[in-house]
Amino acid sequence: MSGVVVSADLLRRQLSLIFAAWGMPANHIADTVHVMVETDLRGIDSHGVGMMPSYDRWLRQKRIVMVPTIRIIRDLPSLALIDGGGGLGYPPSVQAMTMAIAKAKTTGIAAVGVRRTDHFGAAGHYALMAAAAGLVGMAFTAGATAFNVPTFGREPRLGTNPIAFAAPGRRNRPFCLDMATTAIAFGKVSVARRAGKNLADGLALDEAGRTITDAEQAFAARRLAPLGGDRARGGHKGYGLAMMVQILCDTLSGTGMMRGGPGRVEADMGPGRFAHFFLALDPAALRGDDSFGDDLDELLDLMRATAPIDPAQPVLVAGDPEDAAYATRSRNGIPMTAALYEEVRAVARHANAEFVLGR
Amino acid sequence: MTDVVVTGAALRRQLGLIFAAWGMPAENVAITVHAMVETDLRGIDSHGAGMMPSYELWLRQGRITMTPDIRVIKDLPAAALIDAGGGLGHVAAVRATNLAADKAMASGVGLVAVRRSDHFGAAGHYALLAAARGMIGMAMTAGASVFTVPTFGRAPRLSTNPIAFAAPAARNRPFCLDMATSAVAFGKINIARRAGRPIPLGWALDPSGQPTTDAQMAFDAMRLVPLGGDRDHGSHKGYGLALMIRILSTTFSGTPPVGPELTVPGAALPPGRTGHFFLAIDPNLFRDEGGFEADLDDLLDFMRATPPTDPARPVMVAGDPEDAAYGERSRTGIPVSATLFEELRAVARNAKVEFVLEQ
Repeated sequence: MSGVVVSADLLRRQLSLIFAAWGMPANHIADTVHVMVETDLRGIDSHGVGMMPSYDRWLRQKRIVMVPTIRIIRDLPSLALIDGGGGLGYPPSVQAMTMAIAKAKTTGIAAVGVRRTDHFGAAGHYALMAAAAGLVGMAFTAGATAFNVPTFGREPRLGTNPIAFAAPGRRNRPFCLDMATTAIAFGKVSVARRAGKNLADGLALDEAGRTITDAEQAFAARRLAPLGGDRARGGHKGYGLAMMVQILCDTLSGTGMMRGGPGRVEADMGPGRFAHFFLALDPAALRGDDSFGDDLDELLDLMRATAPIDPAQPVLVAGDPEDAAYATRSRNGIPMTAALYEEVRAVARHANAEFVLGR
Repeated sequence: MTDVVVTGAALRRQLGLIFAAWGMPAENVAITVHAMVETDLRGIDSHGAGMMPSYELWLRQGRITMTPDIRVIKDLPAAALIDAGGGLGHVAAVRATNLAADKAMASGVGLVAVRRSDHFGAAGHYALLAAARGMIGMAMTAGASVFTVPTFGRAPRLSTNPIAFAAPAARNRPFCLDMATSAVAFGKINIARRAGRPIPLGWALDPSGQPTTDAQMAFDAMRLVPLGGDRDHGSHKGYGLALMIRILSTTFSGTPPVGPELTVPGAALPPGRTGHFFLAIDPNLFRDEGGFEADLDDLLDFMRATPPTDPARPVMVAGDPEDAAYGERSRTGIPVSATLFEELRAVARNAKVEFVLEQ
């Protein structure tokens, strides 16, 4: 069975119907669906509509609420703290980055934390919000689902704890780094397992903490190495970065997601065991001019002009693959695997929402 | 030839004599020597006294000045920009960190960018300075010396661009991550070269872009791989982080870029082509007093309690090895390799100062 291709408009409509059937308020639907479909358009299939079966499960497990009370707990000129009320992370995150942008335009820098929240999709979306406003943006998130095994350990202790960073060029599209601090995303283990392929060594671990390349075993073990792999190749750095993200998101916001230990499976998770952290910086405030974009263009051009090993594979900068996907998918639509298409049909049926992707 | 062990006090005296002979003002000598010897005491041999031969070379090349005019050129409530005047970075970095912490105490977050600077030693020193004042501290730096080869490329384009992050706990010593975004710092290759040891595969490339284990070859070729190693192991993430740090340190601060003609290994650079980025966050403006430090203790204890693969090698958190080295070296002294000892003797002779490490 081959996949299907759906337009962004149709996907927006489908997701809205499901979230509405789940009881999500209209303003939350608007933020959530916008972020998810933008993410699919950028080619990040792991973090858009592909999350719907998980959200369906989490809702039934009472891990997420659809009508969270989102409250601003602290509001200072350069700082804010938002309580996400145990809902999905999109609405409070859009609010947090919108606040950070407004504050940074006044004071030059702003930091906004979000506590007691859940999955917010792709971190890069929020960093790009800042870049679209002419600012440098950063976004981080940490959750209590454990995948990442600390260096020298054999049990997972941290989430995939991603970091996103975006900066606006003048001629160029924004530089946009969006990366898990594990060596590989768990979704890629799934993909290799379904395809019957082996993993590269050093990416996934077995129950004894040894590297394994068998994707089936790796999928069952649910243990990922930090970025770098083992100690000799710098795995302690990936572990350290994951801890940095954990501290900025969880400890700084007072979420306390590790109380009682991390969740090993989704059913272990109570509501509100995610946290986010956002930064917005205004380069014009310090430089006193708007030449940041010109200097960034020059730097990105210099990187792309690096002599390649293989002339058929030029050197890229972060964001290039996603920008290319965005252009293609905006024209041609968003490809969905047959399996995902059927899963979304099932989610719609459970929700008693119309399935409109079949048209 | 074996290592020589010197006391922190003797090393301070030796470095102080050399910097004074080079014409550095006494106040700057004190700050610079303190940062360097603290770094040696913390066991980071690549970024303390081991830098002296490089500093001497740069001084002769006209790359650094010993009497920089360090000025705050923009001062906003939560952000500032410092011009380091083309000197070594330690003095401007200490000033920037303290300014960022002052601003964070008032605003919750403080950002200080430094332009036109040079090597500032270990980034972790400044993050820890902020942590000692009760702040979360971040420090980054990027220079124009090229070491890191972008993913898919065969020529180096970026420096080792480190990031440091420190956070204060109540019972524990601060968490302190301090990492190059290359798989290893170039200084580690220099240490292996001085010790006559091979380097692990996956640290460095030879001039043709092939991996090498020959430390002397790697030292001469000056080509490091980004954290992750190759594309299959996530090197695009290490490359992305290196570029993020370059953007925050140099583009954000308005440090003058160098053209492609100087973006080659070992190029003699004009002064002031390094930038730094410092961030301080006051956790007490996010949370009730003491909540952050107590929760960080819990997180650090939880990570250290991860079951290890080898009971003889427990799970640590970033900063543990350096804290252990600091305890030991404060008592027993700092080991200096015979090669470095002779290099320091030559630096002292060239500066026409007494060589006091022999005593």
